[in-house]
Amino acid sequence: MAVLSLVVLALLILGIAIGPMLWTIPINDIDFGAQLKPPSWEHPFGTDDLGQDLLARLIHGGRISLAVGLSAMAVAISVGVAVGAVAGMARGWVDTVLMWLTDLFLSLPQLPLLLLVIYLFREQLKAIFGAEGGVFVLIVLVIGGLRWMPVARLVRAQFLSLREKEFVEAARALGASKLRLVVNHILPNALGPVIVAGTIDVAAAIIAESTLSFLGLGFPPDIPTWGRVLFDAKDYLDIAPYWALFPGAAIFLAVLSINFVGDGLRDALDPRRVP
Amino acid sequence: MSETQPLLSVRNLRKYYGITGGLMGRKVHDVRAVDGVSLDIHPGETLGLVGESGCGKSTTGRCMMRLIEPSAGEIRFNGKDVTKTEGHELRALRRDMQIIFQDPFASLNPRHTVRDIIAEALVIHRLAATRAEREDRVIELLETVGLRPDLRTRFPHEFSGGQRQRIGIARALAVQPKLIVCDEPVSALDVSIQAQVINLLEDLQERFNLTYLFIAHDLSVVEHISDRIAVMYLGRVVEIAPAHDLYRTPQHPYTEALLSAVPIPDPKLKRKRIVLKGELPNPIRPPTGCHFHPRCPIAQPICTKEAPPLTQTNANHHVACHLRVAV
Repeated sequence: MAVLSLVVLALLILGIAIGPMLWTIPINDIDFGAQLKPPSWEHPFGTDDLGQDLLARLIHGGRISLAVGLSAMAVAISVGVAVGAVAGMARGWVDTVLMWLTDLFLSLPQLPLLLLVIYLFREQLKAIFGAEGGVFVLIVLVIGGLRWMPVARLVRAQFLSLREKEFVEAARALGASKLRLVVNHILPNALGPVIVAGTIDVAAAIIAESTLSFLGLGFPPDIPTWGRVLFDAKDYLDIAPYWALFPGAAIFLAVLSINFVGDGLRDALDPRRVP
Repeated sequence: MSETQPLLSVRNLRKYYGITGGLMGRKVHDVRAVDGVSLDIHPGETLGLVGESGCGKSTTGRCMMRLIEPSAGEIRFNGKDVTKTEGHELRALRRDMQIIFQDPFASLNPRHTVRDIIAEALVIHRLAATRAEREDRVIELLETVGLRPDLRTRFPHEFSGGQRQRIGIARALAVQPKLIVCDEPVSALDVSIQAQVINLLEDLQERFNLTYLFIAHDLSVVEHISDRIAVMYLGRVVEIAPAHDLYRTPQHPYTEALLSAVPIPDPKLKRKRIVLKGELPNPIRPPTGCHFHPRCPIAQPICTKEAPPLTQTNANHHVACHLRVAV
C-alpha cells in the first residue's frame, strides 16, 4: 500500500514538476471559442468558463497546493515538536503554561480567525513578498500556526513516557547531558507518531488551502490552485461536472497517498520491523 | 565494625514522594518509599538487598546513583558526598558508579546498534581518542561479556533476554566503574539464563575488582552471589548480616518468614512454613512504631509505639527488632 502510494505521489509530483514543459498551453490563455468544453484530445481535462485549459491550470495549481501543504506541515511540526519537547522535558510550571497555550490555540475557532488574520495582514505581506509570495507565506503561517497543537501534545506525551524508560535512565547514569538525552534517546523514539501526524498535516493543509481558496480568501483568482479551481467550478456543476471532478480527484489522490506514505515511513523507520 | 573504609556509605537515606490533591494541588500525603536507610558497602564485596516489591529497594539503589534525588540523608562514595555533587563532579562520579537494569527489553535504546549503545559511554567521557580506538574497546567489551563482536552492528531487538542483559553489562563496564548497582538483573530471565548471567557477574567482579549492590526479591539468587545481605521492609532495613549467618540464624521475624518461603528442591523434606498474615501496608500511612508489627507473629505492645533501631547483636549481624535484641 505504501509503495503503491509512493508511486502515485511520485507521479503527481513528477507531473507538476515537469508538466509545464510537456503541456505548454499557458494557464491564462483565454479562448472564448472553447468555453466549458468537456475533455477532448485538445483539452484532456476540458476547459473552464473562460476557455482556459484545465490541465494546465491543475498542473500549476498542484505546485502551489503541494508546496503549501509541505511548508505548512513543516511549520506545524517544528512548532509542535519544540513546544512538546520543552514541555515534556521541563515539566513543572513551564509545562503547565505551554499546555495552557496549546489548549488555548485548540479552542480558537479556526475559520473566523483565519479570515481575520488574512484580512489584517494580507496587504503588509504582499508589500514584502510580492502578491503571490505574500499570500503563500501568510497561508502557510496561518495553517501551520493553527495545526501544531496536536503535534505538541503528542510529543509531550511521548517525552513524558520515554524519559522514564530505563534506557534513558541508563544514559543518565552514564553522565549524558540533557541535550544528549533529548537528541539521541528521547526524540528519535518519539518521532514515529509525529511522522504520521505530519503526513496527516500535509493532507489537512492542502484541504485547508482548498477551503480558503474555495471561500475566495486564498490566492488571487488569476493564480490557480486545486482549491481555487474547485471554487470556480462550483457554479457550473450541472453543466460541467468534469471541471470540479479533476481538481477534486487530484486533492483526493494527493492526500490519500501522502497518508499511506506516512504510515509506510513510520514502519520503515522502526528498527524492530525486519524488512 | 569492618576493618576497611566503606566504598559507599549511606546514612538515614529518605525518599518521600509528595501526593498532591484537591483543587489547589496542595501536598496531602507523603509516600515514604525509603524511610531512613543506613548501610555500608565495602570494596570488593557484594551486598544483597532483598525485600518485597514496593519496599523501596530499587529506590534506594537509584538514589545512590543520583538517578532519583533523595529527600534527605547522606550518601558518601569514597568519602565524597554524592548528594551534594553537581555538574562536572557528578559526571566524574558517574564513571565510578554504574547500574544494570532489571528489564533488558526496556534498558536498551531500540534505535541504537549494540556498538552505539556501548560506545556512548566512551563518547561522553572521552575515553577513546579515535574512532578505531572506540571500535576496539567495543569489541573488547563484547568479548568480556561473552558476546560475539561481529554482532555489534545489530539492534537490541535481534537478541534474546540474556544476550541483552550482557549488552547492558558491557555498557556499564565501559566506564570501568568501581561500584555497580545491579537492580534485579536476573529477575526477568529464565532460570538457566539467570545462572549464566550470575556467573558472568561473579567472573567480572573477580577480574575487575568490582563492588556490587545486588538488588533482588529472590532470596536463593541473592544467597549465591552475596557476601552480606540487607533485608528491607517498607522503606527500612530490618536486618543486615553476612549471607551464611542470615540464612542459618535469621533474627528478624520478617527474615524468618521470607526464608521459610524459599522453596527447597526436596519433596520429602518437611518444614515449618511461616505464613505472614495481611499484606504489605500502604507506605502512605505506614504502621506506627515497628513497620512490621501488624504482620509480626511475635509482636508486643512496645512494637506499636517505638521504631526499633538497627542494633548489632553479634559480629556483623545487625537487626532492627525490640524483642530479638533485648534478649
